[in-house]
Amino acid sequence: MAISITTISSGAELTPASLNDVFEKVQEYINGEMESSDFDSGSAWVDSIHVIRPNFFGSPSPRVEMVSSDVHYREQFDKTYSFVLSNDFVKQAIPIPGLSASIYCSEAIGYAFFHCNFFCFDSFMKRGFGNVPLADSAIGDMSDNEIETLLSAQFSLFVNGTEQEGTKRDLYWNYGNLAVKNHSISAYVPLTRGMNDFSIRVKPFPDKDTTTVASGRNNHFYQIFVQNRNLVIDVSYK
Amino acid sequence: MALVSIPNISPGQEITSTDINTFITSVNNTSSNLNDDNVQIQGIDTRNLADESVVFKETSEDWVYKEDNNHTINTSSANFDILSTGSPAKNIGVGSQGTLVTVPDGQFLVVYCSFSYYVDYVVSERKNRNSGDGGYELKFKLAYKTTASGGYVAGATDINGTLRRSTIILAGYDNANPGKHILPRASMTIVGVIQNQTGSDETYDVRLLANATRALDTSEAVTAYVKDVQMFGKIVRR
Repeated sequence: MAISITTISSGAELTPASLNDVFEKVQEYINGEMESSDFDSGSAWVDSIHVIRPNFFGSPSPRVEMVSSDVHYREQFDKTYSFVLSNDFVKQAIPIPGLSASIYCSEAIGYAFFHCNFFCFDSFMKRGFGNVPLADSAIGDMSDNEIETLLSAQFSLFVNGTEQEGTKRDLYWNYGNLAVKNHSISAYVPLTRGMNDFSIRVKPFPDKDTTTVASGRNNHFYQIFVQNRNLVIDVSYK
Repeated sequence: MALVSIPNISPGQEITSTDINTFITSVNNTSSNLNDDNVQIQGIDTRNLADESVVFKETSEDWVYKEDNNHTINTSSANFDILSTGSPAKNIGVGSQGTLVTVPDGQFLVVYCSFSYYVDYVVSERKNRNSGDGGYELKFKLAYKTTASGGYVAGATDINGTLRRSTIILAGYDNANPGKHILPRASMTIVGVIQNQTGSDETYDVRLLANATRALDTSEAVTAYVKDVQMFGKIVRR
């Protein structure tokens, strides 16, 4: 409610209480009880110069902190920073450098709009295992028409250690590097105040898994590559 | 500009209600008159902004759709169709789960849709790459309706610039051995924006539409799937 202090009737006695009441109401008004109705709404007078300037931060946690949101970003566009994972390194999903960020949510509640892109493929161990040309009785002994059925890795977005629904992306046999992927993931994640860990993680499907690999061969894929990649996390507060 | 006048009372001078009322009236008159003259440069920070004063975001399923399971693209002709899964059916969309989302006049509804997709693994639907069918083409786009009545597709309006095409086949052999090809699986993210310019609040049901056919014979539908999808929206205020 907009401020409205009752005026003192003419001839009424001025008492300490009546004066204090006036000053208390003014004090409350100035110290935080102004409301939107107190502002001139006749024109759009708020300009960018009225808003406190953003703060830009570089390495190691590049981000922009603004009045209503923060934007965090990571990127790796140089192939010398390729992330390479052997399929028999691990069985768990592990974070990918350049697709991971630990960010601070500075308000009690924030809403993260997460977006990322990455280029990935798997590389075979030996040239002869490349599954090219695609023909019967060749590598994998598949049918005439090769379908991406043999998984080599799965990617997902994890936030604070929890896999996010609807963010899985698959990587299959390389088929002689024909089936490279440029994957993208967007996700919406409510946050609470404090540190929050975002990471695209990759889970290799290791050798010796005879349930997913054609009989007699269990090493058709070998190394998982993640090359050009970037992510943007827009944390909206207001 | 809102200005406050403080009475100038000299020592020995009698204080009257007029002195105090002049002050009270000047304070009361600031209401509705605070403008850029009262706000210093960079004077607005996070504390001055009300919740959702810049971006309106919700976590309900009307605003955030998440699903790992398959959604079948099974168009009977070259037409686009909605994508659903489960029973009762859940539709990929914002405002598509029963309650349309409301966008105030003049404001922007931004929607993000990120998903994986692939053509069905059905041998009978695979074709010889030399037969002229050109593989398979999947098309996606975002569209919206402002009412819940009637069928969705017939009354929907496309969101300009959101149509995406994906030819989902790779030939992998030579002419002497036709019929060898790969069906790669991929992912995609589409972002669309709608501005409510109706002059009043408007409701929206925004959905992902898809179509899967032979690439060179769009009258022949094929079965394909969308899975691991997130679709969410936010309102950006002007």
